[in-house]
Amino acid sequence: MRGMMKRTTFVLLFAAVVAALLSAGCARTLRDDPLRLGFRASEGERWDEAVLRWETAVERSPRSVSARNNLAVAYEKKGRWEDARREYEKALELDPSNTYVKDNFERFQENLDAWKDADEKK
Amino acid sequence: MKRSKAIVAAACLLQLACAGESARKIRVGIPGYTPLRAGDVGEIYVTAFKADETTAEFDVGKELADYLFVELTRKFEGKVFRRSIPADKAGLAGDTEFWKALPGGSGPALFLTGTILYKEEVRKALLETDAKELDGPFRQEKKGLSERRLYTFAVDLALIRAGTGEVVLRKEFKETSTYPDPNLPFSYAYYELSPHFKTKFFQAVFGDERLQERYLFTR
Repeated sequence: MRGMMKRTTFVLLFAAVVAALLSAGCARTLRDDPLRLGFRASEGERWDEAVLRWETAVERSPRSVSARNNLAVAYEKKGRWEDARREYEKALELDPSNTYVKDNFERFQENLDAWKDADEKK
Repeated sequence: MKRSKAIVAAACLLQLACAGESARKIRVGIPGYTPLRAGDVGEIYVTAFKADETTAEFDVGKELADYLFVELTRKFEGKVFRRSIPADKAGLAGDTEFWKALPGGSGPALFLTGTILYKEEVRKALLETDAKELDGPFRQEKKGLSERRLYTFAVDLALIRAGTGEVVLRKEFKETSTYPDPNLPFSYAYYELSPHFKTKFFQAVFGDERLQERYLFTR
């Protein structure tokens, strides 16, 4: 009986510690996370800031598919097509099966094809 | 043993919670086609516009140049300047040698010029009363002809690359409007039509934003 109580107390204590770690650790990470900050900036239509945040994210984690994908979208928004293409291609190099990045890149390429036609007709 | 299993499980949970990937679909305004690539042009020089009919009271060429200068300053991310040119060169986009020789500034720049054509016509509109309308004390007599003034405001606009004289964009914009008061001056129509023209011109130059779906990762 005593052993059972001890075990329950341990489990509860352990769960509390994990929960505290999850909320404190993650919250702190997210607060300083340039990826997250860039996302918030994009939600507020502050795309110049989003570009800067995601550029920082790429600098810190060059192998982050998320950072490169988001930066590519921000470059698209700013009309920086060549930069957007570079970031999409790097993101797909890192994770060729990522359906979200693939979807974004396909739409981006559709735009480029349409503009190429317009340039030729000019 | 059980404790170590619990610790491993907790570590996995922590890892999952902090390192998972989360994609969100957003709708973002992506700029449309534009003949000016971002970073291609750092300066725009608004020169002069040739107007076929300019009255002393209302110089439409000067009005349009002033208006576009202010609006471009707001919209264009680079620098916008005024540049005076001889009156006989205004609107002459084809005179490559002239534009090539015109000093443009330090970086890649464009000159803006154009020709304005405006005309006014009086049109007669036939007024008819509805046959089913009942007679009564408030009935208005609506028979006969009524004069309407129709204004057409057309601008043949050109963006010319400094240094080469190459025409980057040449496009004609046309706006019309009809007014029931036949005595309204052209300036009235101009102030109403010029914002419509500006919107179309900016769409052609800077690209029209279109909402498209994209995925962004939140972590």
